[in-house]
Amino acid sequence: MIDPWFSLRLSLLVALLATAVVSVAGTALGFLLARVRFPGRDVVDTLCTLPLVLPPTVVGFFLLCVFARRGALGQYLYALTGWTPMFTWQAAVIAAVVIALPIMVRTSRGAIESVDTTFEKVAYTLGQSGLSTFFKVTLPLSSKGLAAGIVLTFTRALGEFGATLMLAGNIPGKTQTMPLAIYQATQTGQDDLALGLVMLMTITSFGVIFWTNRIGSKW
Amino acid sequence: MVRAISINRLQAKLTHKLSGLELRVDFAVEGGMIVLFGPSGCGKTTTLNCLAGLISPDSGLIQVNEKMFFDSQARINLSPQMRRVGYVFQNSALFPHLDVRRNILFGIDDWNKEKQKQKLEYLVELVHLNGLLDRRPDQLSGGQIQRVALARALAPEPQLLLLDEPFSSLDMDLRSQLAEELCRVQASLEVPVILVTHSKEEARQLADTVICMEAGKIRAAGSPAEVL
Repeated sequence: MIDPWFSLRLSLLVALLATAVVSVAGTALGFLLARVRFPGRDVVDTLCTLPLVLPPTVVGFFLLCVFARRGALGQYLYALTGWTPMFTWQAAVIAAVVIALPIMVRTSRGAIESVDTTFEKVAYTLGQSGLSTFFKVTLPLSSKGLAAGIVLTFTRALGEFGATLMLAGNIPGKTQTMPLAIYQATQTGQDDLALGLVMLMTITSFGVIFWTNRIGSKW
Repeated sequence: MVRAISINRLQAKLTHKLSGLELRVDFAVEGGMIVLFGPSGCGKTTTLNCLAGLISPDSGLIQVNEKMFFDSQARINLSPQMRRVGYVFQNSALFPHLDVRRNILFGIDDWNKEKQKQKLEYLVELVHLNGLLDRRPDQLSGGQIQRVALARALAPEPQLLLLDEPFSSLDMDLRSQLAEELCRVQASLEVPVILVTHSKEEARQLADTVICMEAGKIRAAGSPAEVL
């Protein structure tokens, strides 16, 4: 049975958690790519972009290879904890993180690259460490770009379908996010329910973007 | 020609290869106002960056008082944070997200509040910033921006002060006014100042010692009357 309110709550929870993870990891990776020269940088750069280019089902397949009970990481996780993320709501978070990460990496990288490195040099000569310079100078000066990246991350995570289906499955009341519920409603001929879900999703997304835009313009 | 002057407070002997320029400088100066003079692209700014620790020269040594900043043979290379060098960049680079007060206090934000307040009052007096502390950099004039940048560099009590074309964006009147102020500040603080310029006027007006650079080398060094 499709439970619209459960699906909406789950979708928002998954998107929020994924956004929290991606905001931190994506900014760190964006900073690394923008400011640090290291061997294998181009490979990391390409890997960070790949999930954006590949169909989500392909990403989902790779995630299965990694997180399934006998997967590259999943087997150790299962051996240690007796738990597997497969077909849990946590799997939906993993899928959303991997799918949305490239957007955050690319926006944060652009935002950080646009900060004149002279400001960072000034901070060094004033005795500030690399970390403190990042938090006091680089981060505030790139905050608008980072905020845009965070909003995009949230919207992408909210709409995630393909990889989520592969990894978390489509279990009503357990892993069925809004996009999955809409798909199932149309497949089973429940057109009125599908329309209701679509409206709910559209109004929620409209509200989120409208609200963040309002905050952004006041800032 | 490379010529050493006198060895006491600042000694720098360095070589550094850049694309299209080989920097090879060797000088030692005893405080006062030192002007690095030469055409654009002759390696003046690179020299300052080496002194500040923002660039590691290929070889050589840099010593300020008894403190060794850089010695390629002994593998000493202090980070910019450890050198305590004040640096006013060409575009002044005030932090645009901070007001004047927080710009000035940026390098001493770990001091106790009372000491910060005293230092702030002293610097406001020294470079005439009364009434400007709550302004943002985009609300300041060119001359005010340079004064704030100078105050910010002086706050952590540097043992060497570097100024990269500090007056280049100012009109003539303001230039000579600020140059006079700078001389006064330099005289009241006992810290060696190295100022980079491509203006002969400025070099004449300001320098105790002029170091003339050309294509990465020191062409002449001495008093303004001798070398300009």
